[in-house]
Amino acid sequence: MIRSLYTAATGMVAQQLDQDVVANNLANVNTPGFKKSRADFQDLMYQITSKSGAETSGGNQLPAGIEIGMGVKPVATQKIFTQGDYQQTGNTFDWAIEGDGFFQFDDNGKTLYSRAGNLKVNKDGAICNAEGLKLVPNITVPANATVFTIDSGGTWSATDNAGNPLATGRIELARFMNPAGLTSMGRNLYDKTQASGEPVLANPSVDGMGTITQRYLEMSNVSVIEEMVKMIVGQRAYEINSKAIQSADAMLQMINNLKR
Amino acid sequence: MNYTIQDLANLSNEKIRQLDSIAHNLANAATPGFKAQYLHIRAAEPSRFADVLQNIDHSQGALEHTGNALDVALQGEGFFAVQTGDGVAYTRRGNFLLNAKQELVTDGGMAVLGEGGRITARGADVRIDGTGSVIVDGSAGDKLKIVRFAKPSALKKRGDGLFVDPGEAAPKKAEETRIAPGHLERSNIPVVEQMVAMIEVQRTFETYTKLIQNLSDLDRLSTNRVGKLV
Repeated sequence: MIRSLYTAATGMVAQQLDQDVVANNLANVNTPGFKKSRADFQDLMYQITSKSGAETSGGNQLPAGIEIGMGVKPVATQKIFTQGDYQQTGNTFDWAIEGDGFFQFDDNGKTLYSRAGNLKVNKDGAICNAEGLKLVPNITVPANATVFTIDSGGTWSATDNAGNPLATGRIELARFMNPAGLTSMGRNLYDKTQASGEPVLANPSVDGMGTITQRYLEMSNVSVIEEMVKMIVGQRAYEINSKAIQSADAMLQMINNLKR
Repeated sequence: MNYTIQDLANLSNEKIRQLDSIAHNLANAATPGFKAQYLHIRAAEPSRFADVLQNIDHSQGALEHTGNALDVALQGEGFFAVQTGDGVAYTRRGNFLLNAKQELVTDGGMAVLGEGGRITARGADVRIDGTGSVIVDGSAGDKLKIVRFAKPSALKKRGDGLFVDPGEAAPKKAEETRIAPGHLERSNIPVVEQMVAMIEVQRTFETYTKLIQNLSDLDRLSTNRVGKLV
């Protein structure tokens, strides 16, 4: 059977994956702290159909052999941890990280990581994310506190109506040697893996860690225009691969018509 | 007419290989750093068998801005050197990553070589600048090793975006290769030309099949008619 049928099929599968990644990026364009992904492709192995050094009909040696490639394969979907845009929200518990670092959340004893700083206070006064996972290290806002502030170094304080401090502390962020190696858990959360390495903990603004900006949210780093262009390129690449399949099909039909 | 059915069948097979080669190019139209390869069929006289020659087009692909600190593209001749399980291989794919050991690697996990061997970058802020130096927290570390070849046509593809030197490509240090940080090199597939080539292959193949049918008609006529009295 003609190899191109399968070769072009690998091209279509790869472009389909690319569209899936682009669609997910676009779907999350308004998700706070979302980081876009990119599908990376590599050429597949080559089949050697004649070796270099083989004799040609003219008696010369072929300077280079013939190696026909078998198409393309997806290798990785890489998360791209560039900074997202900031949006001013005015909410006390909207915190944006400017620079490196992740918030840590406790998911039933397991620490997960996130860039999404749209935090809430639960009924017990604990600061948690939109899903109710508590921030690590835990912060409990006293019931009679009326003002809560956090500075760029992560030092927070809660004061009452009269301006008396009720509680204070400092948050910690986590940083990874290789953030691209983190696993996406969905829900804006990441989990560490062998590839990401162990988290390095530090206070904001210390040891290259990012700083905290209160009343701002980090939006996604998805650029709609860029994704739209990728979508067009992907669709057209899908189309040309389908044309290669049609050509191979037409040639197979001609072969079948040889016998009358 | 000197061609036999066998000759035409051989030529048809070469057309199928040409289509395979075009399909591979088109499948990789969006693969970063991919270089087009072509099969040429050359009618060799006086023998009827065609020679098939293959060459890889090492021309520059378009640069795409990605803004990633570890994406780099080469402008002009040259390759990045990477360490594989069986020796050094060369690539134009510059979408590098750091692994858990803080080594600069390709997306296939192979170490990217600097002028001093493997590159380790321990720090919070790692990027590659326009000279190929790996900048860690503001201070320049090792430089990416860029290799140019006197005879790049001798390089072989081994998949995964890698090229290997079978020993005839004659490596030399690249001097004039410029590095574009925050960019990736797209494939250099001329899509329009490849579409046209695909049409040409399909139509030529059709001609060959028609010729095969003609010859077979002639054979049938000579078997059935020659020597027969009307």
